Amino acid sequence: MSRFLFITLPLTGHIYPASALAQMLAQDGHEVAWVGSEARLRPLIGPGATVYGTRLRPYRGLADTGLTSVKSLWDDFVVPYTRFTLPAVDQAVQDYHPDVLVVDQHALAGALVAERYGLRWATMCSSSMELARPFAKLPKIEAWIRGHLATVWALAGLPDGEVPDLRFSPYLVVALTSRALTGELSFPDHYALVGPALSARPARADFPWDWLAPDRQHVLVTVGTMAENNATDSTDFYGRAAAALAPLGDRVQAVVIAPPDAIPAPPPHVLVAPRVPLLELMQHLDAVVCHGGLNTVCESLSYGIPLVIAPLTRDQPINAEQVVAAGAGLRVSFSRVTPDQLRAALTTVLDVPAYRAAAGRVRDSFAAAGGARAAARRLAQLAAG
Amino acid sequence: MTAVPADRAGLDRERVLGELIGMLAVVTGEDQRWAARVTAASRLEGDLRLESVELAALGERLRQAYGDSVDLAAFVAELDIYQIVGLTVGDLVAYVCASPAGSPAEMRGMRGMRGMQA
Repeated sequence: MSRFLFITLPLTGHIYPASALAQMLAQDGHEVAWVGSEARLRPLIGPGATVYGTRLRPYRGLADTGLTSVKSLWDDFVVPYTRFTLPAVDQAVQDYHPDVLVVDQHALAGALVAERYGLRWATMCSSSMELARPFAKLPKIEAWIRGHLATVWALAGLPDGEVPDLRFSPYLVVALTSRALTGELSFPDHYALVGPALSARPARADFPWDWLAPDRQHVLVTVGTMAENNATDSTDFYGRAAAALAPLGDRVQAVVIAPPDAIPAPPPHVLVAPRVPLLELMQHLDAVVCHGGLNTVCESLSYGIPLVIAPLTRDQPINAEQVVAAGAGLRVSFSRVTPDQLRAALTTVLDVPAYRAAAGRVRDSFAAAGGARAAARRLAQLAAG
Repeated sequence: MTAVPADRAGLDRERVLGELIGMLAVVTGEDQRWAARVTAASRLEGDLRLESVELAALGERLRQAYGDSVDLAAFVAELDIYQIVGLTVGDLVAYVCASPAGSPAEMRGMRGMRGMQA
């Protein structure tokens, strides 16, 4: 049996899938511990988990879009977070003696400490940000990112010379997507595309299941856990979504994940709730409207639900393109879509069976990819090898 | 109609600016009111919130209007992250006007010739 140390980011969308892998490893008799903000981790991974704590700092710039968001991701988040967590990760490795470090793609302190002690480490990609190589045609952007990697490499006191690409472990890269989405991209053998890693989650919300009428189609509108960073933009989007849904009361019931005041006085066929039991609700849905974060996209597709995606930032445009290419949904402009256009996109994915059929094919590819179970198997092989 | 302006380059720039704003409105699906607020100083990303698919569509329209030498993707590929983040409508106008195939007026002539050959 082996010991795994998870180094993650203080973001819900990154912690949940890591937790799914950790649960699977624990089921198989392995030991698991975490490095990260206890305040963020504990509610998501449960009371029993071992956490080597770091403090939590606020980070600017998570609201940006486009290349501005790439710039702020590295300048204002990845590099400061790496610097900030490096001592805690080092201490955790010295105390815990892990066989393998499981490192979020942007939690570079994990990669640096593993390299420092010559330990094996795996990268976990819970976004498409790097995997799709969006900057393959922008060499100066790629070089700029490599410059940041060199900065943290030097920061960790690692020897001069060629700096490895710390975003991708040379041992194992666990990517929470599948070839049905990545399409024609090709990957080396040590990349395991396992599909989404869903897990039993602590119940965090009730839901009025009786409200769901059997003679209506059901739609979820969510902008995901990054929404808190984009409050102004999101409020505007909720308004347009509400206007898009308003005339559909004779055929649709919609659940909007939002603060109650995001849509004041919603009509009877629109339910606004800040939290819902998402995976349970998925089983009742006919379409999901979202910003296209990889978690929401993959959770929806793992239930065969087609999507309308209004991408805002980070890997969301990439995910939107992949979903469109797979035929499993439509993309609309986040900043420009009108209520009429949004309604047209929604009714199209609801009415045209090809979208649901394509989403079903992606669901099947996820099932074949093996999810958290397959990821845990690859991690155990890495530890044993 | 055919009078040669004193500052020919200046006129070309104005015309390209107008045409470019028109193309931006088309690729974004925005209206005249939006287009009226776009200036040479408008940043594509920060102000106009141009998305990657819209930028790609703009590149195709620029190529159709001004010829194959106007290659927006190649132009952007040469820029660093600060330049891309700060890229303005005026920067694109300057790029189009400086492209080796010459002024838009000449390009229209070339396009006409291509059409005749086809």
